[in-house]
Amino acid sequence: MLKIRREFIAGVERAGRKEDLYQYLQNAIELEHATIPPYLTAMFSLKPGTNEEIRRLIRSIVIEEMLHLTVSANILVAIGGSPQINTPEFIPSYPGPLPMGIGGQDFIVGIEPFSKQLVHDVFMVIEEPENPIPIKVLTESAETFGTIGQFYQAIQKKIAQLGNGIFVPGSAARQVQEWFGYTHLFPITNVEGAVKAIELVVTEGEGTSSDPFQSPGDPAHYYAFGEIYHGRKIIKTKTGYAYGGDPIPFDEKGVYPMKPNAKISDYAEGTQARVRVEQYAYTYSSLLNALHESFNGKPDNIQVAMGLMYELRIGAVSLMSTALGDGTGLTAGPSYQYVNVQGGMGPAASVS
Amino acid sequence: MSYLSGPRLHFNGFFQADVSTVNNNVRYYDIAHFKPQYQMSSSSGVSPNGGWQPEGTGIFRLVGCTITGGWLDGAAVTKDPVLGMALESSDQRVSGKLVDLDPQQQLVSEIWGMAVRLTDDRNPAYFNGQYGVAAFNNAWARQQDNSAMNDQKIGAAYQSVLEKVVWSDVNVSPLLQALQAASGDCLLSIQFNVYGYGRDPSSPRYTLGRITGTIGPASTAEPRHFVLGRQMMPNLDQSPMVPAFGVNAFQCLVDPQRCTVTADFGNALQIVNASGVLVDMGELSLAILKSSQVDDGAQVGADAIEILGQVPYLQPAWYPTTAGIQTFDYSSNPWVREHIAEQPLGVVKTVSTGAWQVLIQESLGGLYARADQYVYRLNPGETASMRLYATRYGSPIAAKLALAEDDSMIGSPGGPPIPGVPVPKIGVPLSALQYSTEVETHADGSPVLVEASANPAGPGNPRGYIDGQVYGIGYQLADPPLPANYNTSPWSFVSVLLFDLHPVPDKPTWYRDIQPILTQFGNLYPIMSHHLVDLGDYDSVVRHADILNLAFSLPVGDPNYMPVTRDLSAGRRATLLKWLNHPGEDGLPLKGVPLPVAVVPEALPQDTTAAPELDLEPIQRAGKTEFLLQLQARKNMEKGG
Repeated sequence: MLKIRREFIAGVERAGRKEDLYQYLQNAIELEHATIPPYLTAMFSLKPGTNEEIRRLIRSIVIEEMLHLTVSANILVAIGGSPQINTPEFIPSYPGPLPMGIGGQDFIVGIEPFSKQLVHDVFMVIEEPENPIPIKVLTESAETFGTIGQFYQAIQKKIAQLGNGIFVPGSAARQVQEWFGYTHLFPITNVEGAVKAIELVVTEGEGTSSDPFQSPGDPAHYYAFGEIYHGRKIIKTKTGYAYGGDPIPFDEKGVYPMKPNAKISDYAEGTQARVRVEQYAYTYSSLLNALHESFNGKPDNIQVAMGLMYELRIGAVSLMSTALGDGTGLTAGPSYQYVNVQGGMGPAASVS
Repeated sequence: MSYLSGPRLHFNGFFQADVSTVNNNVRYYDIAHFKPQYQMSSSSGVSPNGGWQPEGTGIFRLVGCTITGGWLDGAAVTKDPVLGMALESSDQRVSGKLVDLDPQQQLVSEIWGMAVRLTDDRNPAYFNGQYGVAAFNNAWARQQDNSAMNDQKIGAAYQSVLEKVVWSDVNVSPLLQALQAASGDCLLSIQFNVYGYGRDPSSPRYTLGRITGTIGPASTAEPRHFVLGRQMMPNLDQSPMVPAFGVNAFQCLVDPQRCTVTADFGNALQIVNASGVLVDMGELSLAILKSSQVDDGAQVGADAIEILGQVPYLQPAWYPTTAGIQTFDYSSNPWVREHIAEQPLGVVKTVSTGAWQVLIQESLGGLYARADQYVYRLNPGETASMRLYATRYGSPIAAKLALAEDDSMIGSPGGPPIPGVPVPKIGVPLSALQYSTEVETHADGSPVLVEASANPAGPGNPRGYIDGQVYGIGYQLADPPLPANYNTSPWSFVSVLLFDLHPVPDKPTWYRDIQPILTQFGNLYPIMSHHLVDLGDYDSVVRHADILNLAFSLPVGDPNYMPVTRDLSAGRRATLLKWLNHPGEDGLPLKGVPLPVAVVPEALPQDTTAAPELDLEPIQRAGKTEFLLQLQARKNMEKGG
């Protein structure tokens, strides 16, 4: 089970006013976001026309992470806060630990191409529920660490405790409502709505303690990654559940051999790789800018953000199909750095 | 006001035009004859193929552009915090797009949906404006070095405005303050030159080119796409792309108060190679010609010209820091002060002491006619309001203009032949596009508005496998008449794409109404089908119904607008949206039943004047270069008989 430093849970529990919750909801937004670059990269690294089922599974998880980010941001907006999305600090430094010390300082998440090992060693660890099915033994001390589920439950409890008075009248009009369907994303105007929304976030990530499926045919993230790793769909057996269903084939050749954990500065100026990695980082930064606007008074701007998500996807293909030509056999890999300009060709006068 | 008047900023850097190339050959629009190999790159060795970049996205963006120079209060700016700032595209929305009007008119590629902002690491936008849709102009064979086989050797210029300009924190820079003060209407004038575009997949410049340009004040009362100023017109008798004496068309603005002439050589001088080093043509000067009867290329003596000043184009920093704009001060020359308003300008080359050759001169008689916007898309029943001007030595005049069909620069197929797929004839039926053939311009500087109206019934699908029809509307001065030997610009025409009438069916279905439309886009834009939505596949399209619904509903200027190519008629768009929004009982858009066989109309009007086959480099087998060569071949054929 992925751990979160208990001080964050304690902080939520200590909150006396709604303003004390702002930072923790911002933390939740950052946490939900932190998984998106690694998952997106793994998904984008699957070559077009190959590994379709794996792509579909990761895509559905990424979309839910975006939903969770949206829910956390909407709750923050609902109680009068302002999500901060477009800052350099918003993006974790990859490879590195997740926000709030999740998983401990030794748990390092990077930007890597898809591999089953990556799914097993990183993604399944991120999404591991409190009590995985089949049940595993908790070995670590619960003294200094809690779970992400506990963190969200603490927020749920605190909101209930502070009561309906913390919700700003009329804030529903400032919440993002599109693209995820009303059953998953609805205006949050009171304790009941907030509690229900958080429940969905926890269930979609971890499932429930007795059922790996968040809804029929749709396993929670941990189990969906498990399907990918084990190469089979989950089925119900007489004794419980097994990765024994339809195969989920993996074609190793269908993955771009992209450079992992790249920084923009890793690529020489005046190369296609540099221009494309800068473009990708710029598009991602523009996406964060658009989301920031969406959560700060212009909810319809989510449409603009959707366009940027498609541009990012196309940019990833262009990037990951660019050979580095440095003898490693690698292609260019993305960098998630917040940038304000896009260049890459170096001083204009120096390139012929 | 324009980029040639008042304070100005110069910028230099790169642009990316990530164009797609399958749609360069009009024959590939025929879905009945389309083959998968038409989506393969020219580097695959397959022929015919999809050109040098089948998976282009259409993205147009600025890359690494910085402010390299400026002009304020009659002097070049050398110290101002604005120098070194970045000129960037939008950081809030997707990139702009570069869009051809039609495969049979590829010489007016427009930039759509681009934002331009000035920024540094302290301020996301000192100003931010929306680039007014514009097509390039004055394209020519600018790059002279032929060793870089895959470079696009054609250069061109874009002039437009930035609209809805929002300013912030401009007090950091005197030049920015002056620019804001001079600009009314939240408007700026922007001009840039593009050249050195790379099409070699192994080059760092692949899909990138050079850009150098200028931003200045603008006003809604003036044209957006040219300067009401002095127009230098090259002799283009050999070829519309090759000025006879090496200097291409350019414009100047005379400021009689300050006694200055500001000339824009940014797209007028040849470059050696993609780096933008200018070709050494010897000592060049801007001059006033004392006679209006000088032949292009003629040699003249000191008595025939008055030199305004040398063009310092051979200084290496001049072009990148001025974008080729040079201001000449004639305040100390009484003869010039007296005569500049009525005598032609020109560029002369020093041949020897006391002898000069005239390389280019102002339009004869100072006469010039111009349509401000020169690209339109019209649905049946719609009207374009063309804005026309006539000037004499830069001043608006009341004159008669004649308008008539002119397809001399449009109509090439843009790619190699495909058996069984004819090249459609363009410009027919003539009656589908109506406009006045004679109009009078205004002397007060306001444009005469000329309505070009599309027949409510549309052109009647004259091109068969491709929607609508392209037309060229030429215009020229009728009265005052043009002097003999007047160099008519090959670009003095308006391109119009007229869509076919497409009634929206009551209950559109996939097989009957939607698949034929989307399959064509899927064929032509493999980036979509390979990476986003398989447009030829019902299930894939239905899975992405929400995002398609959004993209097909946006206003045409939105950067997320679909299709990027802006070539879907209102009727077809309405059909698509109706289909997406009126699902059947299963909650999904109606599928219908497969049609037996696609019906191809017979006796399609064909272009019988199509050029003979040309021997081209493989890289040139599609796109602008072939388009041009085909035009040239057609002209030669017409000349020959």
